[in-house]
Amino acid sequence: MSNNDKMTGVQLACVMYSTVLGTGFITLPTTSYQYARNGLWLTMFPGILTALISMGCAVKLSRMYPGLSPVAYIKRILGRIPGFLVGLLLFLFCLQAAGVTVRQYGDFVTGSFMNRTPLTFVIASIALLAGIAVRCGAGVIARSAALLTPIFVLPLLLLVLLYPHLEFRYLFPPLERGIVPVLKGSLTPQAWMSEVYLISFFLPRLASGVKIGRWAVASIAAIVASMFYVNLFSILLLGPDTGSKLVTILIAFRYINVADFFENMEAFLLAMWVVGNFVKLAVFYYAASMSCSELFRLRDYRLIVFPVGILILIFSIWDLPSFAIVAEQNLLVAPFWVPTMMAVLPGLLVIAASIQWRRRSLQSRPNG
Amino acid sequence: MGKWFFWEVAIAAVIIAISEWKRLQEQPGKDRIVFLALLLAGAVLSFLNLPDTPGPTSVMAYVFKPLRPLVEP
Amino acid sequence: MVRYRMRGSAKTEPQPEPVPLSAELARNEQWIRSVCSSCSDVVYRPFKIGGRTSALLIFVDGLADDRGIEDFVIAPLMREDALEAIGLQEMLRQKVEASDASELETLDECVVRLMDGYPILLCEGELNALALGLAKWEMRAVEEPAGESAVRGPREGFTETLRINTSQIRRIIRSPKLKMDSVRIGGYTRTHVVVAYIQGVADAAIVEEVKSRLSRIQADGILESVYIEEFIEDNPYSPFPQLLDTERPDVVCASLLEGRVAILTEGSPFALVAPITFSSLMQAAEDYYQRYIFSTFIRWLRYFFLMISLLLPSLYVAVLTFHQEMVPSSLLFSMASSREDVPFPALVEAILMEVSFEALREAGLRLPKQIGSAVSIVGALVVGESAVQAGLVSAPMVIVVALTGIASCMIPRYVASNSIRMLRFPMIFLAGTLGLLGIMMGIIALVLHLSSLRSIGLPYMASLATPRVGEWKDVLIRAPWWSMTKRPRLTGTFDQRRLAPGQKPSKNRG
Repeated sequence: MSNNDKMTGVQLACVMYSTVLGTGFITLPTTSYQYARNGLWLTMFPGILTALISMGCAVKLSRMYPGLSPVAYIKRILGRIPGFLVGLLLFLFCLQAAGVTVRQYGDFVTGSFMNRTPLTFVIASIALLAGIAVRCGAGVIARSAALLTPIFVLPLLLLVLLYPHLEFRYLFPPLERGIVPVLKGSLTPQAWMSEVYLISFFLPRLASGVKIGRWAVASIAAIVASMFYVNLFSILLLGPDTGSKLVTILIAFRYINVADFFENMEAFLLAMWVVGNFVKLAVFYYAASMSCSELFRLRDYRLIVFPVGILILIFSIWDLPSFAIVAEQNLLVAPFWVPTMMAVLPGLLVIAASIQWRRRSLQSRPNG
Repeated sequence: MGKWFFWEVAIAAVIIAISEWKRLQEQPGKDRIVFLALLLAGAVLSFLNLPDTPGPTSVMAYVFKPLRPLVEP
Repeated sequence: MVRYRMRGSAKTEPQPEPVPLSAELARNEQWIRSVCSSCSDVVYRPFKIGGRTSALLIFVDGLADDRGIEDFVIAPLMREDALEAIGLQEMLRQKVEASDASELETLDECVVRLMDGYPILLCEGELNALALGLAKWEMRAVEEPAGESAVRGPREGFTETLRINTSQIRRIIRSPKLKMDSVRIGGYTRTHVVVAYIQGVADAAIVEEVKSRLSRIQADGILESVYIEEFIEDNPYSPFPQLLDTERPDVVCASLLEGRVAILTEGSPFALVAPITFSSLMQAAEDYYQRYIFSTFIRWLRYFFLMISLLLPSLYVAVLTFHQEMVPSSLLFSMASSREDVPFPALVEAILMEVSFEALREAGLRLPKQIGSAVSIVGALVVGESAVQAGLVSAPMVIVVALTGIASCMIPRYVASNSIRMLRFPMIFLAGTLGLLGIMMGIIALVLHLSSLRSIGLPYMASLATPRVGEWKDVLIRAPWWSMTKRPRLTGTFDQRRLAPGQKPSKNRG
């Protein structure tokens, strides 16, 4: 009966979609606009490359080491002590990323909706829910992600109601300052998209016979399409104002007004935001717990889930005095730091592993 | 934040330890040590004035400083 | 004391040696009389076979067919005189005109069968007793199921008698592949429980799992199928039913044909079906007897009202308390003016109204029908109306509560609607304290719970959270029969094909 705990392709795609876009919808348009200006709608496309690299490495490594989660094969590839150190780095990365995710969530909720609720409470409550999900296992995260994804995606369709306010002249002149600003603007989106590598924590639980490649490409396509859609609407609606808004999509939802009756739709945005962040947090949380458990070769990762949760809470406020610092971090550090861990490191691992495999097959050939 | 946060974390840690006690008994020694070490790390860190303590953000800002010109608008 | 008794009846306790029948009729009779002392309903009827050999017929009054005993057992035996020629055994076999007669060797067995309603025939000089299949008792006629009525479709419902229920199923599925394994549960009630499944269609692992869970039950009595449900479900702390209960043989048969397992209990007109998913609770029998387009429409409506039933009061409270700006301004004015005189905050008002609605519902349900309608008229109309006029509650809140009440009746399974109704209260609390954020937290917690829940090993959310296009044919829509070529995927291996493909009717096919 245990085969029911295996994930299906759709679940995998849902998990990836929310992992990247959980915070993406809020952060990316504003951040990218600062470089790309009216080329904002193009900024998602260079990220496809990073996403494909991360995803390719995840799939490749999971085929080379079937059934092993990342820290386990890192140890296998790099040897005991270097493997431990790199694994520790991955663990810290997951903790820190989870902390920043939950912090962004908390800042947004307290800043835009619940002004009088303490930040710690908002953060701790969602961390508790995510902790319960992580404790229930990968299957439950996948199933709940599949159930929650409609709540996450459907509110986006409301943006269509904005069509009377759209100004197509904001798109012109296209690429007025060349391609470089667009490339700069795409640094943050590609960092976000490299997070699809986290799927490698779930690949060992994938049902056999699932065509990973197809679902991976489908989810990347869905991510790019949704982000393109949101970016396009941001730029068409707000034009040069996009950069000055803290959360573009929130402004967009406030603009919606149909027949003076359907207005102030930002409640849907809150629903979307909570759900998307929950999935994203659960994925990072699961990755952190699994890494820690593999790092010390624990028998059962579930024991350390809640202690890891406390560390995530600490990382969500440690050295982050204000929302501005978090935004600066997203702008200046994340574009390099995240892809280093999520695309460069897996790439190096693939190279190291294939060298090892080749050497091993060369060694075994003369003998056998 | 300050003192309150420490107490919140400490209470949470105690609750976690109590609720996991039964499971803890069944696990090998190493698991127990890791469990307690993580909880302790959390409690100790929460004692600091966290938002203004130099930490991961400062470290990364330092590490990635050479790349900064690339992204500065 | 209770625990001691239950332990005493448990199977694991060492049983005393069974007492064999003795050749002396008087000793056997004395043993049975001592065991069944003070059982005024046990009848002892001594007579002489062929006027010579003394014999004794024991039966429980009311459980045995009195006329049958006289006509088919006692009368032919008393007339018999060729006893010496063929021997007692052979003579009994020839002369007793009962459909079923089994030989018993121990006195304990005799008592067990006696209590099941079988008349026991003991003869002088015989080491075997005979249990005669002449059990018969008063039973309710087959009626239309009250809890699951349908406009179109069979009108038969299960009764309290197990054999009638199994016969109803067998009349629908006339195949020897339909297996009905019988177990006895309960130290004192020794209730007959039948596990029905179709061999080759149901996953053998599920059948084994159900049987082993049933065999683990050690209780003094099983009075209703709910007892069994609570013993074998996967998560005892869940508010959701993890087994489906139904009064309709056609629902049971449809489930059997989907590869599920049914559990029938003596004394209960409710059969249990396992494993189920959440979407099973949203399917009514009539969905399959109506045109599929309409059924699909009704299903969508049901899911929509499921959401309303769970969320409407809490959304209303959240909006009133925290998010007034969400309400369109014209509506906000009318809402605000209606709430002007209300002394309570929205949270208290909602809880007050919901609780009184639940009380009304319960009162109307338990009382006799005639008074029940009076309660609902007085409660809902008079009290509701005057509460609004007195300014204790606002009219929109009454509308919200009434709508929620109606919405919860849209859920075809009564048990499922109960759990949704109950979950409304924590939702209202969350909405009153944290607004929309609280509602979202509640939804996430609910989703987490549902996706970790299992029904006999099958994930509860299987078809919704594990989307497969083929399976949605019976979840979000009700596809026409000719297109449902495959059985829903439950667990393990099973016979997938349900009907031959390509049966879509068209005028070209003639």
